This record gives sequence, C-alpha cells and structure tokens, in this order.
Amino acid sequence: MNLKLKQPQKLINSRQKKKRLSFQIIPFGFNLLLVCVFIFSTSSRAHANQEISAAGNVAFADGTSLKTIIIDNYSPYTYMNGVGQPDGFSVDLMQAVAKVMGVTLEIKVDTWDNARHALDNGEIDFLPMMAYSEERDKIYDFSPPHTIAYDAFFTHKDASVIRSMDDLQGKNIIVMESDQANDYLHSLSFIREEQLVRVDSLPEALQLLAAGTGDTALMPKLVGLTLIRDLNLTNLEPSAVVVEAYHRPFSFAVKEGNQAVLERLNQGLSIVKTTGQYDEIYKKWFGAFEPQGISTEILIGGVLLIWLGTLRKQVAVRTEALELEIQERKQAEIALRESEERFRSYFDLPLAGRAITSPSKGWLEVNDALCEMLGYPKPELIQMNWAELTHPDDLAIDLQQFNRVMAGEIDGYTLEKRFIHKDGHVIYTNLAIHCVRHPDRSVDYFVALIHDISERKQAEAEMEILARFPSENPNPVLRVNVKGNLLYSNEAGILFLPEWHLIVGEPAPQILQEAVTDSMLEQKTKIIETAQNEMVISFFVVPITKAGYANLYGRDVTEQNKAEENIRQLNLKLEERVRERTAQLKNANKELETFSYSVSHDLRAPLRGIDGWSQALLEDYHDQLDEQGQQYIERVRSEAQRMGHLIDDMLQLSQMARAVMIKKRVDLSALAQTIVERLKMDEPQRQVDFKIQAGLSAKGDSHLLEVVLVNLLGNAFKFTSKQPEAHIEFGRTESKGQCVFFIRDNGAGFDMAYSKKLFGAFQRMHKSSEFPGTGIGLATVQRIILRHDGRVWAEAEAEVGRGATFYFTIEEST
Amino acid sequence: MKSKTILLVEDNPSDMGLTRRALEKSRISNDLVVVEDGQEALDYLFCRNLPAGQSANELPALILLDLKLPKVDGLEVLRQIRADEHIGRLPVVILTTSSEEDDIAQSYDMGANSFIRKPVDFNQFAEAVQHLGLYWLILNEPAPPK
Repeated sequence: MNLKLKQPQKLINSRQKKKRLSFQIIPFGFNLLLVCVFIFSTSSRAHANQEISAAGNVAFADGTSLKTIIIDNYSPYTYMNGVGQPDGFSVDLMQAVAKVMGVTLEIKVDTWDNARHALDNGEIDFLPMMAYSEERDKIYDFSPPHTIAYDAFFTHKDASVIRSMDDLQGKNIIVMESDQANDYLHSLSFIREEQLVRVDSLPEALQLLAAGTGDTALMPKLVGLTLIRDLNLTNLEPSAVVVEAYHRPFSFAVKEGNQAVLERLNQGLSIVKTTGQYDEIYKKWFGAFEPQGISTEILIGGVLLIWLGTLRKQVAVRTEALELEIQERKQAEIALRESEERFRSYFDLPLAGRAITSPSKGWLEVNDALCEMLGYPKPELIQMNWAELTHPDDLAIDLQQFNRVMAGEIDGYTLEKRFIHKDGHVIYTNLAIHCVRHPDRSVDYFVALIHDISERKQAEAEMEILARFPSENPNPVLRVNVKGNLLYSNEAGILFLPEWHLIVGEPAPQILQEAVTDSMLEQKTKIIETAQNEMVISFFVVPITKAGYANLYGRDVTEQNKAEENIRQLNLKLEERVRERTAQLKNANKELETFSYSVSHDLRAPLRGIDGWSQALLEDYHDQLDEQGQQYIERVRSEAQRMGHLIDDMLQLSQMARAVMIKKRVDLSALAQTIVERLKMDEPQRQVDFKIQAGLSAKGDSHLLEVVLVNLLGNAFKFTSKQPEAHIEFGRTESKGQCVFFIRDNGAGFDMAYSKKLFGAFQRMHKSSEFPGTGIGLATVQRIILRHDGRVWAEAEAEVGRGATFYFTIEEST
Repeated sequence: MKSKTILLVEDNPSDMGLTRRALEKSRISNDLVVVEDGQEALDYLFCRNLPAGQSANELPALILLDLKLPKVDGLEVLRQIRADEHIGRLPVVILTTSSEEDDIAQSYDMGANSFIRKPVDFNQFAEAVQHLGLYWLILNEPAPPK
C-alpha cells in the first residue's frame, strides 16, 4: 500500500479544495495500479470548532443527529440485513465516525436516485457513499475517499467473456440508472443507446442477466460478487479484470458548501483510521474476498492526523515536492496521450494498411484500410492470422523472413507478397515489417505496413505485354544510341541481318551509325536500305533526340523493289516503243511530205506536158487535123487540166491538215467581201445578189479561214450558176446559245439523204457536166473547222433545186 | 546590141521545150541557154570545165531556176549565186511546179527575185513566161555588176 499525504493550508475555499482533491491513477499494463489517495485532515478540532462557530453554522452542533440515506442491495457497502437493519461497510464506517464525533444518525433506505434528490433538496445531510467525479464535484463536496471500487462486467459463465471494449460491440449491457457505470457507457461513442438496459438496482441488474435478458452487466465488482453470492446466481461470473477506464473513489458527500458537516465527517474519518477502527471494519467486510485476489484491487488511503506544528513544515516541503511530481506526471501523461493520439491517427490513416501482429502471426490490431484491402470486417480479420491470408506461393519466403526476425537475426524486412482477398482474388502488396522486442530480445509484437500495389502490378504486366511488341515484330527493329552503339535488336534483326553481326552493347555497323548521326543532327527521319540474306531491307531511322538514340524500323522491301524494277523496265520498254513509234510517225510524215511534194511537183509536170504539147499540136498542125481531131486534142487538154485541179485540191487538203495555225481575230465580213469580188471578176457576166452581214469576226488562222470561205462561197457561186437570179447570203445566227455562221444560196441544193457524205473527200453530188469539181473542197472545209474545234453541217430544202445552207461554228472573236 | 542570154535550169525535157516555145511565142528573142542539173548550172555560171578554146561564158541576163534538180538542187544553186561576189546580183526567177510554202519562203530567203509556179494549162504557162520575160528583160533595170 502506497500512502501519500497532503496537508492543506486552508479549507475555506472550495475551489481551491477541488484542485487538491484531484488524484492520479496511471495504469501501466493490465494489473499494475498505482493509486495515490490523499486524505485530508483538518488542522485541529478546536480550530475547526472555532471556525464553525465563527461561520455561525447553528444547524450543526454536538448532540444533534445527521440525516442520511443508504441504498439497499449495495452489499457489501450498504444493504438492509436479514432483520431489516441497515448494514454493510459504509454503514459501519459512518456509524463509527458518528460515534467518535458524538452525533447520532438517522438512516433511511431508498433508491440511489431518490437518495441523490434528497441530498440536493437538503432533506438529508450527507450520503455515506458517493464516487467522486468532476461533474458531481460541482454540486457536492466530498470527503477524502474511504474506499475505491473497481467495476467489472458480469456475464453468464457459458457466454464469451468481455475482455476488451471491442467485445461490447452489439452486446446489450445492463446498468443501474444514474450509476457511474451508466454515465461511463453513455460517454462511449461506439456504444449505442439501444444497447443499454437500465434498471433501478444492482440486484435487479444481475437477476435480469441471470434470467437471460441482456449480455452483460456493469457494476462494482465487489458489489456484484456479493450479490451473486447472496442471490445465489451461480450461472454468473465477473470478468477477470476490472474496467480500467474509471473507478469509484467512494467518499462521504455533502451538498456543495456544507462545510460544517463535511468537516465533522473528515475529522471522524481521521479518528477511526488512526484508532484502527477503520481497519477492523475493512477487514470485516472485505476480508472475505481477500483469497479471491480482490485486495489488490482496492487500495485504501490511510489517515494520519498531524497535530504537532513541528511536523507541519516537513509536510509542507514534502507537499511541494509532491506537487512538482504531480505536475511532471501530468505532463508525462499528456505527452503519452498525445503520442498515443498521434500514433492512433497515423495508424488509422487510410493511405495504407497498417497492423500490429503477434509473434504467433495473429492480427492484434488492424486499421480500416487493411480491412478494406483484404475484404474482411475488423472483428473477422482479428480472428485470423496473416499466414492463412497469404498467397500460398508467397508464404515460404515470408515465413523465412519472419523466422529470421523471430530468431533475432533481423528486426524487420520488406517484401512484395500477395494476399488472397475474402472474395478470392489476389492482392499484390508491398509489405514492410518491423518488430518490437521485449528486453530479453524475444519479439513482443510486429508493426506492419501494407501497401496495395495491385494496380501497379497490373500496369507492369501491361507494360511487359506492350514491351513484347518490338520483339514480336517480324520486321527488324533496332535502337542505336548517339554514340553509335546498338542498344537493342529484336530477333528478326539478328536473324535477317547476319552480315551486320549485331551484338547489343557493341558498335553498330558503319552505315547505321552514319544514318543515326545524320538523322539526329538534321532532326529528320532517314531511310536507308541494305541487301543481305537475299533480302532487301529498308530502315526508317527515327531520331529520338531527347533520349539520345534513334529507333530503326526495318521493312522487307525485296518484293516491292522487284516490282518497282519491273515497272521501271516496263517504262523503259514503253519509252523505247514510243520513241520507235514517234520515229516511224516522223518517217511517215516525211514520206507523206515527200509524196505531197512529188505529187505537186512531179505529177503536175507531165500534165503540163500533155496540155502544152496538145496545144502545140493544135497550133502547129491545125490544118492537118479535121474538126473531130481537133476536138479530141481539146478533150485531152481538159482532162489534163482537170487532173491538175484534182492534184491541187488534194495538196490543199493535206496542207490544211498539216499547216501551223496562228490564231488571231479574223474579220470574216471583209474576207468574204474580197472573195466575192474575185468571184464576180471571174464571171462578170453573172448576176448574183451577195448579202454579207457586217461585223462578222472569229478567232482563228486567217489563211485557213480564207480557204473555208473560198470553198463555201465558191460552191454557192458555182451551184447558183443556173439561177437567173442568184442569191447568196453570209451571216450569223444563234443555235442553242452558240454563235453559228452560215452561207445560204438558192442554187441547186442537194439531196438531204446524202448530207452526211457531203464532207467526205472526192464525194460529189452533181454530174461534172452540170457542175464541175473535184469533191475535195468540203472535205478541206471540214478539216479546217475541226482544227478550230468547230462543227460544220449542211441543210437543203426538201425539194431539190431550192438551195442549200452551210453552217459552221468557230470561236467568235470578242 | 546583142541581146543577153537567158539561162534555163530545167531537167524535164518537156518543160524545157514548153518554156522555149512559150518564150518564142512571146517574141522574146534572147538566146536561151539550157542546163539540165544544178551542177551544170554552177559550172556554167562559174565557168568551170569549159570546152577547149572557150575562155569564158557570157553571164545571163536572167536565170530561170527550177528547184527540183538532179545532183545539186535549185536552192543550193541560188545560195551559191548569191554568195558569189561577181554574179551575186543576177536576177533569179524560181520557175517550178511546187507551190509548197516552205519552198517559196526558202527561195525568197535565199534571195530569189521572183517565184513562179508553172500552171498545168499551157496557155496560162505561156502567159506567165511572157510576163516574166517582158518584165525582167525589158522593164526591169538590171543591177550593175559588182
């Protein structure tokens, strides 16, 4: 028992007193409790009396009685015994105190709730047992605690034991109304209101529990044990450990400010402690539980009365030291709490799975992120161990490392390992483990950090598949760095380019080095070709300047090159043939020219001879020829001349086709007028009415267009020769939006049935005796008009002899 | 005064005869010297291969030159005449059957004085010969010799 004393200087200021009432319970581990109890003593009885008298508190004097209320069934503290008398530790204690202080007690029995109301209302003077709390300190004043009770959870013997707060999840808990247990559970965030079953008394709580209502009951352990014994509730038992979170420092309590009564009670307590009465009472009530190991849970503060002033100084010095110690402990506690909070908030971070695991591979603590990662709710996961969640293929390596830690070789390790999710799929994780050891170097627990790297793994797998593209390419793919070293070649490269002896890491062949250098300098894709292994391979050399290398994408162009070569050969042949044909054509043209020349020159000469010598015969031998002989000679001459005309026309026809055209604006009206004048002069005896529209013009070769008009006007002139009143008109009309020239006459006309033959060479529509001609004129006209991209056609009146109209189109000069 | 000669360069005997006849009919009395190819014409004009005893040929007052000739053609004959210092100014009339534009153009380019196409009709031919004889031998004032 560790007893600490404190000597207050004054007790008047209640605020000050509250501070001094504070006490420290610092749990280290499960069973070790360090309890400091400060029991206050008054300076002196006489002094106190004086103060009381001075305060004028007449409500309290020697010989008067103090009213109080106990609650039943709070054994061994307070209860009504078999003969209907109040009994228990607290009853004995307050009676002993009352006796030494010379007061009598009026004890009533009621519920806890009613008892508190009675104290609030001033109906009673004090309560013999009230656990101190800050809340209560605001409305009550407390004596130093005379006992400290610890609570425990009671459950059915066959039910699962409540070992930790986590075990309370989903459990129905029975508590007494207004009890500290109720307040405590109420303050816990993870306990829902509907889990709490509230009753008026503790026996009721245990009886309900025994009868099967609720899962557990929370109450002071000693009270519960006593009740179980008294009520013979053999199917219940308390948890082995007491609740650490709070305890009940039981004190005498008075209404706030009722210093007179409190002073008396305090003095009385000091006296019964000093005289040994307290110990006797304690032994009487709690001794029975000693064998069950309860005594360690209850620490009682001793009472020391200090009467002598000589001791006061020592006490004051000691008090100062204690206060300092208290401060330090407070700070230590705060630091510890903050550290724990920091750890907790770090532990709970959802960024990664975190766990604390045991040397037997169990999960001691896991955070939500890990639960989510593995797919198990926390309670379920806690029941498992990590080995059974590990992918079978990764277990051996993990265990190997784990065992090294256990053997003390290493303190931690990292590992990429796979877990199996609850739904069966594989989770890739990065695991970091570190152990915390006991002083004897054995492992206390492990701290584990688990990152889910499934996505990264999947990306890596995809990258790996992607990376196979170049290697699976049937064409050579190479990479050469700026220094000319081969960084990569796929299998096709090695296979198809044996002459290059490609070795990764070695210098690439000269041709590649040069191409890479050029492409990187010029920032341009280059194309190079190599022929080896009976193949022609063309490379695109693509510079990747940033990376300091070039990628070379090869392509088998053997067939393509062959095809191109074939095309080239074919083209050459074709060109050769074109040249041959052109030469042949030139030859033919030359021959034609020679022929034309011969026709014009050589064929005409004999004709002139025939004609000339016939004439000579007529002139020189006129007398020796009779009339018929002379007619024959004349016939010879006219035939010769006709052949001359034929030859001339034929020559003209060929010349029209060959002549070089010089296109310019031609005044057709003026041209026609000139031709008409010539015709009139040729046959001045004829009466012909010419009408020539003014301002007709066209774009074309003037010489060729003259030939056209000469032929058409000449024809009109000729075929109207039998008309007493000949009319010939040259004009312009429109047909389908196009300008059309026409030459109309009222001459012999022609049969429309032959209109298509009209423009053929040597085609004649009339007898020579009627209208002489060679039949070449219109063929010449058509050839010229066609060369001007025009059209020529003819129409005749249905009745033969009513004239004809010749039309032609030609680009009109604007 | 002895009338000057006309040099006729013509290989066709028929045309040769008709020309002579036409000249006679036109009463052009100048002596007609006939040579039958280009080479002969050049020999005559440049006095080559003269018969023994003959020192030189008389230069003609007019040359009637056919184009289509054996050995050396008419255009070449014309070129050599015009290229020669001594006889370069002799009047040369192309008298031919051709009416090819090329022939006409080349003839004038070479310095022909005239281009006459021989018509088939003898009467017209005779008329043409008469005209050119009158023109070149009588009306035209010849260029002074160089």
